[in-house]
Amino acid sequence: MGDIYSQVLPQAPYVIAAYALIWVSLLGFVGVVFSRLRRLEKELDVLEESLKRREQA
Amino acid sequence: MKKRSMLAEIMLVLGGIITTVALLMAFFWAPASLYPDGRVDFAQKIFYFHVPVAEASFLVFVFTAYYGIRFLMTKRREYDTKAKIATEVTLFFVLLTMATGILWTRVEWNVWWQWEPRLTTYFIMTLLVIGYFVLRNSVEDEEKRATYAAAFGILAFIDAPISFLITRFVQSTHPVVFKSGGLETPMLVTFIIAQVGMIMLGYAFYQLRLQQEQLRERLDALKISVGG
Repeated sequence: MGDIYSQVLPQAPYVIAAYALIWVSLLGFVGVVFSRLRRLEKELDVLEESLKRREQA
Repeated sequence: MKKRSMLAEIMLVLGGIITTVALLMAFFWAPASLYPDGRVDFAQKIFYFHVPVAEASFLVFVFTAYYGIRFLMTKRREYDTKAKIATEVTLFFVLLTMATGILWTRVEWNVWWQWEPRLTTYFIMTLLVIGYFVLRNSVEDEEKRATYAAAFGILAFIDAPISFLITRFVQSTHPVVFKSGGLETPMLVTFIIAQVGMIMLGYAFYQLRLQQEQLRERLDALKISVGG
């Protein structure tokens, strides 16, 4: 068992780094896109409302 | 008001679940790969996500070329937007492929980089994808920008099949993944599941970014209406 650990441990930081990089990047991408989408939707709602009010007036 | 498509969100959730399952399978189900001398090759675990991310980059890049051709044929702005978004998602996957590949190379080849055929052609692809955005940002006229970008995107895509196939035609130290008898069944199943999940995520990313861009365009048009 100790032999296996001695083979795995030197490579482990690179494997962990690769997986962490993938997961953090995927989550980051999703987070950024959703926050921008929400902001745009809010802005669009305000503008559409304002346009509707202007048309009614 | 709901302005997003449900399909993109469903694909995002499913893709997230499937890739997470693949992650667990990679570490708890797929057997450890061994070097010829019997030592454990733990770094091989990087393969389960490095390759799907690379395949996703090739696949999404197809849409850059496809929408580039559609734009040149029709001159419709929506195709330029779609090509741009596809290239953005390609860039995301390309950078992830490069980063995970470099980590694998460091362990397996004891170097951070090697100028061998697959790495070199993929590096060229990375530069071409970055170049696409440099080109877009350097042309002010909208029509010219879209035309140049479409032409550049189509030409840049030529490197993708070259990079994908080069290890089959030129002697290379980079492993060839898709060959008969290359993987044990649990390894292959894990890889396929990771690949499916990553393609779903790629589709979801593309659709979500596209929706964001379309919302922004709608917002700009409304701002002009309200302002005028």
